[in-house]
Amino acid sequence: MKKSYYLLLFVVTLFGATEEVGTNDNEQSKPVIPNVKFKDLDNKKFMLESFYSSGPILMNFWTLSCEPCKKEMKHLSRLNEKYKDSGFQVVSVNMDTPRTIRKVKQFVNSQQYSFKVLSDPRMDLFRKLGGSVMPLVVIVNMDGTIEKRHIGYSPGDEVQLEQEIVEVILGNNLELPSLDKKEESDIKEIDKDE
Amino acid sequence: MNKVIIFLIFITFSNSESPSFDFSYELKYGDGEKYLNNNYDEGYEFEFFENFLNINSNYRDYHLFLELEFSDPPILGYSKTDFDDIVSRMYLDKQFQDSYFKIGNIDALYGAGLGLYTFPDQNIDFDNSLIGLEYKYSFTDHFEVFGIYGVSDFEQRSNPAITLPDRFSENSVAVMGVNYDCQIGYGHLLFKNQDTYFDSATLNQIYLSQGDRITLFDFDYSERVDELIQNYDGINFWQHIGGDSLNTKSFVFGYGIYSNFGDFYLELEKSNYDKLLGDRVNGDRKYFSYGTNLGNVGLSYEYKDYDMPYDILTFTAPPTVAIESTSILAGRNTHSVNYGDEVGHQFEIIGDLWADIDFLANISLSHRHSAKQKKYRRGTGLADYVNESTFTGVAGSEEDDYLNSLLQSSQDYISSPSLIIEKIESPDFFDYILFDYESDDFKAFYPYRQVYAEVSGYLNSDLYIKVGYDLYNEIIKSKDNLVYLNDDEAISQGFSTFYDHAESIVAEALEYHTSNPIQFCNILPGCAENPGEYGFEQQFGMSSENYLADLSFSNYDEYFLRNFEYHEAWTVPTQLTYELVTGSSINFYVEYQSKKITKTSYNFQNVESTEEENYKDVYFSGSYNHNGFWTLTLFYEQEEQPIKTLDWSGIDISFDMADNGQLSLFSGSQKGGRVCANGICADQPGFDGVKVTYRTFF
Repeated sequence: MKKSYYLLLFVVTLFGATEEVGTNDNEQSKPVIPNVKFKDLDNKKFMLESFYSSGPILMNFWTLSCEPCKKEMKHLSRLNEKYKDSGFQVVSVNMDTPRTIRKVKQFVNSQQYSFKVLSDPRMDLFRKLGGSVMPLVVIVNMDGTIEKRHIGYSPGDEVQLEQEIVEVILGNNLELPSLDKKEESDIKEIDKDE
Repeated sequence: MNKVIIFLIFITFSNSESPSFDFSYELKYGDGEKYLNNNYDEGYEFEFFENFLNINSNYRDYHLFLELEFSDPPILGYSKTDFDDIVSRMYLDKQFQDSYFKIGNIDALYGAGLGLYTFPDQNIDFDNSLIGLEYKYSFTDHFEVFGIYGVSDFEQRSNPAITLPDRFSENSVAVMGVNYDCQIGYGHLLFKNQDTYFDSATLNQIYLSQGDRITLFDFDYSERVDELIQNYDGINFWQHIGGDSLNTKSFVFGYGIYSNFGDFYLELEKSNYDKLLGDRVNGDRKYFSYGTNLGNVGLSYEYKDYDMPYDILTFTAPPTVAIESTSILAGRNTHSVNYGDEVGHQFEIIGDLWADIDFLANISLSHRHSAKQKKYRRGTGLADYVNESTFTGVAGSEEDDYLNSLLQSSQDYISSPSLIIEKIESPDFFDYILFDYESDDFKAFYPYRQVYAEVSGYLNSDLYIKVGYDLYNEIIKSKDNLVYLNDDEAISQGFSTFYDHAESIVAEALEYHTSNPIQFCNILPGCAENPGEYGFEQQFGMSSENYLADLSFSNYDEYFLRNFEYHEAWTVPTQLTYELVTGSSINFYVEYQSKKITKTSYNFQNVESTEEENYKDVYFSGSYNHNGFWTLTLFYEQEEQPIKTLDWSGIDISFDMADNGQLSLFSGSQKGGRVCANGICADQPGFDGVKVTYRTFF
């Protein structure tokens, strides 16, 4: 029992330490995404930085067995198409292990997603971001800091995601793409709800 | 000690200039009763409390990861309450321009994982990561060398149904190799040297009693142990054995190419390794995959051929080449892959039916390489046996005893069959597709077949549906069949030989009695006319004609005793999601499963019995999500078992807390079930009570 107190003390100390780090600068308190190396489904290599350096990104982590992930990706594909002219892009990270990885490319091609799909069968970045359940969505600023994270997906969550995409585009001093009147009114509607 | 060093590095990090910190925390708490068997008739008080704090820190391209665990107790595995155990995983890594360096817990994967694949999975209390170093250096974009050295005190379960690990081994692993990537293909070459030590207690645990032996590994190991026990007369056997050190040397080659005709990948492993308490043997594993897209239709094919009997899977997890079901009920019928002896195929086709409606069809098949059966054949060699016999008795008085004795011994010869271990002819590919389980020979190959088809997609922008059908067939156990057969041709030939022999003996007896009539034969009725036949009747008790006519061998029934367990099930999973107004939605899962388990076995008196168990299962969950902020879910499941009907129900409310958090509260009962990752499985116990799950980032 004594050791539980030690644990509690340790956790509390860590909380305190984090707070201290974050007090100097608001931006600094945001965690930075590790700049790791990825391969895409055609075995081409990329550093993560090459994606977020040109505009904010939304990363989603998924596997073929994750049903909510697939539902969410339909919407992400649409949002990627809608906001790509502003520099924003969706970067999808598949984490299927060797037991299923061979089916991923066929699935992705059949779905005709508009975004890039990378492969991380070791789940390196997912774990480095503290992921434990899917889907995990992470919104990253152009300086590599993590703006938002979401666990899980329920139909309708894409509304909030779109609002956060708009915010991160504007927050990174980029311009929203020219939208048609209906899309503009949708965004205003979201702002009003907030 | 290593943990302490890295912990100190972490403290140093925390005090250096502007490191980035990222914390995630997960809590699981439950209070209620757990149920360990399928009958749910006896619950055990159960309270679990799991806490995981993951700390990720970045500083100038260095990354430090720490996982702290406090579990008292966890759902599966041992409690971790001592301060020394709290740091459960950690590593420090850095990506340089041309190289990569990692120290701590090494989760490694090269190619398809035939040579090396280490990973953690909390859900099944599994972690085969090595504690050591990993280093990669890229000479060019096309060529990279890598090396890993690590040690591990690895814990495994001998049976997924047990909650605590019971097989322990001490391991050291050294791996080196190259990754290549050029115009003509990509892949890797890997060499692995692994030393493993099993102590006496673990060897004892692995040993299975005669009745429990199921797999080739179990049979082979148990036979070796039986032999050793005999050498020690069974006295203090395990103390004499002490433990066993095993060495494995593996060479793995992977090659893949992306072409206009599709994507090909091939991986081969050749290993030379020690059998537990046995000899050094060779084995290999092969894996092949092909995938292509024809328009919006994706096709994939996978093949496996794992032939490394007696190899104990530790730091590898080859592809299962079996479907991974997303259905709650179908997912409980998980194929247990035999990584030492299995051949398998998987085909999948996926594509658009129309608009936003997709289809998927999959078939997975597997079986053992070969099968043998014990055949007891009666009468083979009977003619030779009879031919070896000659009459050496006293003529005129011992022919009857001789022939009666030869008749009896021939009968005994037939009733003591010779054992023939016969290789069973392998069924062809279409037998596995059609799954002809009525064939006894077919069962001996442990066949598995699973067929799945689904249609899913958005009927309109608000309505998503999915309907699937899963068909599952598998022989779970197939111990030696006992086959008793009559070699009719040999018995017929043996009898003919015996009859000829008897005829000649009878003729000799007649001749003897003719030449040597009994005293006063000439005055005895019948003797004077035929002294030979008269004397024969006096000796044999019947006429020579009747004696020969009465000669015959008894018939023996042929029979086939089977010992197997067969599971078959079909499942219909459905799902419906409807978006009510912007941000809110309802979601339903309804599934139905019908399952039959057939168990056939024979007892020590060779009496066969067959039991059939029928199960019908209905699963329902309905949830309402309000504007993405909270979700209320109701669960209900009913299972009709052979002797009773059980049901489980529960309610869950989850909150998506602003910025990074999720809290879930559950109250009710849940059926237990098998959870698998990369072919490694553990059974989650059934539960009745309350559960709290909390996840957050900060």
